[in-house]
Amino acid sequence: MTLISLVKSGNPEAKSVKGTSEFEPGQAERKRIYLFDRDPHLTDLSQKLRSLGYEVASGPGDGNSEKCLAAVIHEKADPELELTASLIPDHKVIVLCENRSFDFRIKAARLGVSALVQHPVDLIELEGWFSDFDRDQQVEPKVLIVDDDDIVAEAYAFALQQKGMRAETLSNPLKTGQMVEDFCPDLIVMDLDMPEANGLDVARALRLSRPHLSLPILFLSAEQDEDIQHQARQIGGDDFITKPVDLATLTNKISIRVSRARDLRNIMERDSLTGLLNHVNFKERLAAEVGRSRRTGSPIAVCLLDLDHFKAVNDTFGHQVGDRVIQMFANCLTGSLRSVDVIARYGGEEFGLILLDATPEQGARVLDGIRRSFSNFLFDTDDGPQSVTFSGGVCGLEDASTTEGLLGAADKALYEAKQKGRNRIVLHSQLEQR
Amino acid sequence: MVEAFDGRFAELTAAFTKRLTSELDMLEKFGRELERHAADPAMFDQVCHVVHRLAGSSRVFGFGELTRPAQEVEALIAEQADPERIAEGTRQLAEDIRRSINP
Repeated sequence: MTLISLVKSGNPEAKSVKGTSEFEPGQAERKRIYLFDRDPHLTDLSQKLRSLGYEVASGPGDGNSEKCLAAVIHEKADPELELTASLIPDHKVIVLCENRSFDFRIKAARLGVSALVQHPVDLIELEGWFSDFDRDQQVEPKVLIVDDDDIVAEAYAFALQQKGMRAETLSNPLKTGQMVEDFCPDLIVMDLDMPEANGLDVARALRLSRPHLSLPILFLSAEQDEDIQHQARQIGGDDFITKPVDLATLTNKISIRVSRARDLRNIMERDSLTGLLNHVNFKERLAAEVGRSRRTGSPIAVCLLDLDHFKAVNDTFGHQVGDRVIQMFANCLTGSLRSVDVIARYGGEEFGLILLDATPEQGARVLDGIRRSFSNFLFDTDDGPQSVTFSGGVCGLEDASTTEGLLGAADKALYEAKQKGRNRIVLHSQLEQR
Repeated sequence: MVEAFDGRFAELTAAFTKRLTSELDMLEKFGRELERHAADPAMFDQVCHVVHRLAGSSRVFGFGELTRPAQEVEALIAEQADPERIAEGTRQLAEDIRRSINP
């Protein structure tokens, strides 16, 4: 059986190297990677990916319906790229290649290959692609349509949904603030002329809140007055679309705007080394999640993690190795947690997490699993393979009621974990009981 | 997926057409009141809102031919034109709507 026929027929022997463990809140369904290989080196790659929280399978199983983050194919296992071509319609495909020719790149690009990664594999580069795919797959762009004409707003929403976006409509502009808090849109489409409130005033009111300063607003109106259009742009309206506009033009414009807005926001909000949320935006997200949790009653677990003896890693092996450890730890968290969870680089070697719909106890269990996997991961250094561990402190809304209070409680628990000998997770509630 | 979308879009178009029918009644009434010089400011506001909405959204549901006559009535009201001219524009728009919903 050739690789390609095996894929087409479904592989009866395909089984995950490590099965999905019992799911609980805060714990991700393992992100699945298909690995096609004829190189023993990749056995090592498979083990490393497992250590980072991925489920690695040797190909699609029966029915070919399992969700898979990416198919990774070594070019020697598929020299004619036939297998690659057969997987591309349903999968993101990464080809590991030793062939540096540009011809090969063009051939791969024509087929629709998502990425080429040089072999031997730089795990951080490979995982960077996984993170990008995960973000694209899991978090569909969100658009809020504010228009008092509910029939038209619904039509816009359906057209956007057909383009793979999540769209909500709002006919009362006075509820925009609350809706933005709850729905967290990537972009707002705002009608200008509404009886309850003028779209310009609604936009001005939104801009009074710091987190909404950069939220893109696309005004939509039959307004012909150049002055009003100019005012709309001054408020930070990213564009002014004049009605009448047909649905195809509108959805294309929104699609481009929303994609650019997300890219820009990623650059602004994220730490450049790890691609995780930065300190400031983590605290803003925490404030929003605390508010949401209070309103909905669903629990959250707030966690601070810190790599153990990190200064010694830097001093002994150099900052380059230190940076790779930080990147790998960030990738491990991204690979092991759900896409809805909030992961941030809080400081140098400190990380902050918000696990949604999870109690602190559930959060601590999930983190303990990640702690065990990560401690088994070996980094290549000049002194041979080395492992690094981390400690963590976890709390919830029962421990503190404010953002600062929660961070303080998690930090106290983290301090206790360090005091007790590191490489462990401590719940703040356990401190209280003593 | 596409069928589901088409189905939902047909529903929305039906809702828009139903609303057009009630707007047609309102515009015809407005035209008659204008001729009798009996249209009050509240009615002007209401018509203004309706023609503004028609000018902006009728194309979305395949009634693009209503855009221009609706824009014309909107402009006449905005420039406080002679009531007869507004009445004439409104009558024209009403006729266009009637033709569009009963082709």
